[in-house]
Amino acid sequence: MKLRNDGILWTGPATVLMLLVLFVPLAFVVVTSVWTPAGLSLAAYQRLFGSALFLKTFWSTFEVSISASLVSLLLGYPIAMHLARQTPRMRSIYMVIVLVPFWTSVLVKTYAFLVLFGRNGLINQALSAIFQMNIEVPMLFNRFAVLAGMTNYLIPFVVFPVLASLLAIDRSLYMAAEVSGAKPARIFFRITLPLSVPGVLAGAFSTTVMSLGFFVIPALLGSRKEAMMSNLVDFYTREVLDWNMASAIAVMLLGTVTLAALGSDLFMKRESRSRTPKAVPA
Amino acid sequence: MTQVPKCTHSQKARGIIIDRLARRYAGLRNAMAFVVYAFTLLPTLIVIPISFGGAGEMSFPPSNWTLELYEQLFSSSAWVSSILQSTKVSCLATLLAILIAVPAAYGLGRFDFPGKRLVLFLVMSPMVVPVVVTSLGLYLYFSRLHLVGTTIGLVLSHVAYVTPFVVITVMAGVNKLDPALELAASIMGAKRLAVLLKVVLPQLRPSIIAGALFAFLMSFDEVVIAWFITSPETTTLPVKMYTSVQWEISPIIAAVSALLTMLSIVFCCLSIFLLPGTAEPSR
Amino acid sequence: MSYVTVSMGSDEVLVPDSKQDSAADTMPAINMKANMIALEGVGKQYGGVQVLHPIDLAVREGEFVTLLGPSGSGKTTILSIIAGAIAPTQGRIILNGRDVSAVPPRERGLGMVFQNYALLPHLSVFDNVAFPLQVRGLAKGEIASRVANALERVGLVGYEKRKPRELSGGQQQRVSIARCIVYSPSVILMDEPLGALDKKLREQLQAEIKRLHRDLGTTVVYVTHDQEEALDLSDRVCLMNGGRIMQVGTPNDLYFEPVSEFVADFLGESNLLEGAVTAVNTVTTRDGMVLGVRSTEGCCVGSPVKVLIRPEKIGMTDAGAPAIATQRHNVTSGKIAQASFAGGTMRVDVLCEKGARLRLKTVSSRASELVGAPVVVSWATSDAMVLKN
Repeated sequence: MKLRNDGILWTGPATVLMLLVLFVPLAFVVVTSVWTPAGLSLAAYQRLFGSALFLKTFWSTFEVSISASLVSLLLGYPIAMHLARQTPRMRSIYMVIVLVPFWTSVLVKTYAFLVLFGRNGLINQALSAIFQMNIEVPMLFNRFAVLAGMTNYLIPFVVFPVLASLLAIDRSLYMAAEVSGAKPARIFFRITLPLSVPGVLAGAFSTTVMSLGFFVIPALLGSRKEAMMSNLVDFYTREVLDWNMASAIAVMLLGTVTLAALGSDLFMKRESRSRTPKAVPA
Repeated sequence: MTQVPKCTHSQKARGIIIDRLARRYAGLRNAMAFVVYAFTLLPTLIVIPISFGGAGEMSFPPSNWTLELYEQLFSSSAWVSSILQSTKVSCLATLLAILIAVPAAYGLGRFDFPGKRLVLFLVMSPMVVPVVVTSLGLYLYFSRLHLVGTTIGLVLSHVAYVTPFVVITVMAGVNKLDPALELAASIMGAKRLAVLLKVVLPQLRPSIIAGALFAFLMSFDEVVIAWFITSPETTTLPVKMYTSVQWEISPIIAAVSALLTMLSIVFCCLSIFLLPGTAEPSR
Repeated sequence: MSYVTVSMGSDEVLVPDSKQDSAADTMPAINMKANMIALEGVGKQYGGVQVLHPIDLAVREGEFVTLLGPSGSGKTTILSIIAGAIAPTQGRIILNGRDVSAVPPRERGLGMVFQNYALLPHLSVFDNVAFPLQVRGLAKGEIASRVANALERVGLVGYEKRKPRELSGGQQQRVSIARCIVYSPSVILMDEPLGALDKKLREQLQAEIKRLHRDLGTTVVYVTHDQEEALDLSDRVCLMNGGRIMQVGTPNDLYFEPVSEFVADFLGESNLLEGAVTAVNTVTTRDGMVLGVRSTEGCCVGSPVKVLIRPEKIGMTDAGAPAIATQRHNVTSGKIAQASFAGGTMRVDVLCEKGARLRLKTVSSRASELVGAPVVVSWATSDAMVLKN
């Protein structure tokens, strides 16, 4: 009896804050999306699905998010493996390399990519110096730049869960495999990879969901063609001044992200359930 | 691979080959890891040497080292006022977030109560909702309340934005507390507040400080909400950076970026020092 | 279960209702048998599982009562319910005449000692012991003298400035006890206080707890799974199993007059012979031994029973000695099947001629090591207890 009241007492302020500063605003978005001077209407949504700009953005948001997630998975995995093989002391030192960018503002990293990838940026300068000719590889304001920036941002979010599942693997499995003469490649594909699947899935899902809502990186490193749904919300709010449309897009984005989050949550739960009774591969 | 006790010649030869293979694999693995380490870390670090180059050039390494950009930064009232505004907002947001999130973390970590799942969902939802959606909502909502362009509006929004991360950090600390200590204190006659102040908080200090560092940095670096709901008078540093990058790529940004990087290095080291092993809250 | 007296409330002081608090206050305090704690029909369910079946239990003022039982028996649940850490699903808790069922722990006026000490890691020994006095808002000087007194009682003078982590387990538990006695709570609850200590320290601290209880006269409710601790310390023991009370009584009652096989087995070693009642005060075992027993009261002829004989009650002589069964003695011959040396005593297993195997304790001697030697064993009929199935 006492415990119940206490729980509500302690969490009360946070709950009220979330209702007032998050859920009321969200309600405003939903209402604005269906409220026109003529009254309630779904006109904004009808316009959305007739708009080539929206449909293109919608699909490219998915494309960019999924590819950014896959690339960061491919790049993050070797780091996680490297970290997993270190002694705890060395691991905490290498960890700083992952943590410093993680704690750094996305604007700093984006600015750095502008400097590196620019027409006269550091990479083109270096290439020109090496080949003794004027090289201007276009690396900025295209999908490559957006993916590079997003991947750079996402790698830590892959490393943390993958490292956790790698560290959870029983060391004696490796010993057993080595003693029985398994080659490193075999050990990797039979032990390391399958047992790190939970971490890989967690990393893949969370980075995809996160990417769907990216704003700064596509806005600064991409061209109009690389705009994602977030940027479209901004565009309609600021440049078209059509809050009705902006809200409808925001509702679509929120719905997409919620579905993706719920879906991955469900998948993870089912995955972990199907995993538990299975014998450990040897 | 070294544990091949009694072995024949052929076995020994095989062992050596495997050993060599393993070493080559290890080399490959390490090389891959270091390339990615470089890719992760370089963009963050490269802004530091660039910031010491002149205003006209953008090269690495800078041909002549100078503090020119820093002088420009600190003599520009627009930049300085955005730094001050950001500092003010982050400090207030951190303070409020701690006041709200620490009790919430304690309540969620320690007690069972009806509606706990709902409360957990509410408190954690800012992590899932795309910031741009929140920002648009806040913009529409605050327009009604005449809070757009006010510092208090931004502070409140940032409190909501950082609270789930502080809750997670502090809850990890709460889960490590021995509930017997609180029970003991309460049996000895301590009231709720006394238990919190004298038993719980002293033990949670490291996680609270880590949560505060995290909250400060997140608020200090937050762009999107601020971009939607600040006015020119209340522009924060990230918004100032965002607009400058968008329109002109002012070289002063190099100096700002370098300062931000150094700030995050300091915070990162502090958090590692404070809470070994928990410096990576799931963002 | 005819002689189980679980409810202590009925034949003694009537427990006043919560509405009659004032009446309780005016009751004569001289009544030495006043109930300090009374649990009335207290039970606890967790998600449909009855972890504690409704029980009645009363603890008198100044009494040392131990809740004894294996893990999961519900003993810690009872302690937590008395402490107020968990709310019972049903029943009432009366503390010192007041219904405290809905009173939070801080207002129950209890003291508690935990298995893992529960000292505040960031405070010194002095501040830990001073904590309950500080929350009561006592003056500085008063606190200092009371803390000094408490620390002296537990033999920790000179340790005031240390932090808990700089102390050994035994010392930490002493601090925890000092922190408890410093504010003289009317009841002290102890949750396996010796559980985390090694054997030697355990014995030492056990003696100190006993002495402290004698000196202070505080009511103590003690939880343990160690029967020796329970038998040594307690005025009364409440033996529990599976969320039910098996027997409540003095250590003597439980040891010598267990009401069930579980009680007999849990406390000390026992020989249990299965059989059936064949006449008044006579049981014939399954393998045909006819035994005189103390009493078959309440049993019908033919009802299946078990006969309990404690190993130390069985005597053993060489086979040559005359062996005559009498009204007062059961005698049977057999041979030594196994003997093990346990310091001053021997544990000897004797295989009786009818096939039963009896364990007995005897003074160590070389002769009793002779496995296979024919012997005669005997025990008084008054030491053979009947346990109904």
